[in-house]
Amino acid sequence: MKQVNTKVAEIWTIGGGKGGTGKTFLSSQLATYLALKKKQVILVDSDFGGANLRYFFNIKKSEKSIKNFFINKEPLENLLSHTNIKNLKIITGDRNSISISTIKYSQKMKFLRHIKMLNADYILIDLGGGLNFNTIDVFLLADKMIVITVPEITAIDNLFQFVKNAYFRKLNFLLKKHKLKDAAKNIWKDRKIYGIKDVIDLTAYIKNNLDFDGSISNKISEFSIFIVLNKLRNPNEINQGFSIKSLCIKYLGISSIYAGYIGFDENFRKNLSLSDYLPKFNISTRIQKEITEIAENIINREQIKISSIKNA
Amino acid sequence: MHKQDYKKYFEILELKPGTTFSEVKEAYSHLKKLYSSNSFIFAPVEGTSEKGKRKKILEQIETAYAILSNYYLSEKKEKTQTIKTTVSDEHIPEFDVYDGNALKLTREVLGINLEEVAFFSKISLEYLKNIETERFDLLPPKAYVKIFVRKYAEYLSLDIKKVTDDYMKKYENKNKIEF
Repeated sequence: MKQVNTKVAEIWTIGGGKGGTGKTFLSSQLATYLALKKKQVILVDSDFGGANLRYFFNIKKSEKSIKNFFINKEPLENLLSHTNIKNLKIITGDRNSISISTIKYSQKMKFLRHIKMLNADYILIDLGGGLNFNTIDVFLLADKMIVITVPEITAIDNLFQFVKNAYFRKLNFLLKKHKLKDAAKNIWKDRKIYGIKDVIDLTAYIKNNLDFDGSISNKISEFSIFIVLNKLRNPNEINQGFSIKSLCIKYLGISSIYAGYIGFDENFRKNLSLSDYLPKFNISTRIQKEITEIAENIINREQIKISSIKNA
Repeated sequence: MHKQDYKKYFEILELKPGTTFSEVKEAYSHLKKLYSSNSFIFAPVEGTSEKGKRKKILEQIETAYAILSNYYLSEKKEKTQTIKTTVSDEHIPEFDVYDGNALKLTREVLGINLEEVAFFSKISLEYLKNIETERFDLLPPKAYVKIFVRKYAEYLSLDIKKVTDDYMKKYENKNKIEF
């Protein structure tokens, strides 16, 4: 008999384009935080290429991974691994046997459908790096989309690309659904005539002229991202989160919230070193505090308080 | 302006309505600094066709901040008004004759700045200054002056009749000498 779903989980996806910005770290910490708040949490490592979430939870390689879903057609519920944290289960990713390019469209759609059906309060999905559309489609699945970056121009550049691609894909999808894709395409082609300079203008034009029942506008205004800055070495860098957010809003037309930041931690880096077979994580109280603020801001859709920065 | 009309100005400063004034100030100064700067952060988002965009953004930020400042000032005014009724008898100096200087002193004792008076009385700042300094030659015709003084006295919770009578007497005397 099929398991009946009793809860509708809230899905959080954690992406951001560039590798090494701390996606896996943030996902694991947010999942832990929510689980400690007595929520049922499932963390999915959807990094099809270079999954490494298991390192954060001491899970040995022999356990079942996402590979079993794609190759052996096992249901996702069977792939849950227990962790040392109560209420937190994870589905580990895979590094070799499946590559993004080999996942068929139907497989991907099935994956997206099945993730939604998992029984939990929260489902967190750790995305891989890169800007490919499979990653973006998983990102768009979320109720809350989170992007993480570090204060370096290359990472921030990737972040903008990632967010822009996601937004375009969503807009495209909506236009297609409402059979307006060709109309929008033609408007963009003749944008000079319409006085359209950028995506913001185009979206506004669609809203005012094509979107008669407001269904596209509603969906588009729901598109909102949470920004997290990681590996800050200098308190001055905290403000960069506000700058990134501002550019997302004013240049890309994407509603954005700066949810918080994580300072650089030397001990954490040591933890990830190769000296131990399985690293032990002693998260400093400072990082715990920062994670708490980020998680609460995401839960409540709140921006980081400027006053809390001043006391940092 | 209605309370919800401020929403778009909060949006320009990328804040939720109802944020504290200090958050508004912080957001304003950050945005102003960002869009006046030549930060490398613009490189990924700025196309070549968007040269005027930053200037336009800066203008919007300035407008939003000016309007929101007034909004917070008006909230403060509501508060000071309630305080005023209790404090007034003890601290506000009484004048035998209300002239421009008396108005100015009363206003200063109440801790109200002229911008605030201008915003709520809808009298231009310039005229208010001229009323205080008694530059009658720079004020509009008499009937207007009377209305302005009346509004000003009302805002300071003074005896409207006494203030306008005193002030207009002086206005007429001075004009007599000059003409």
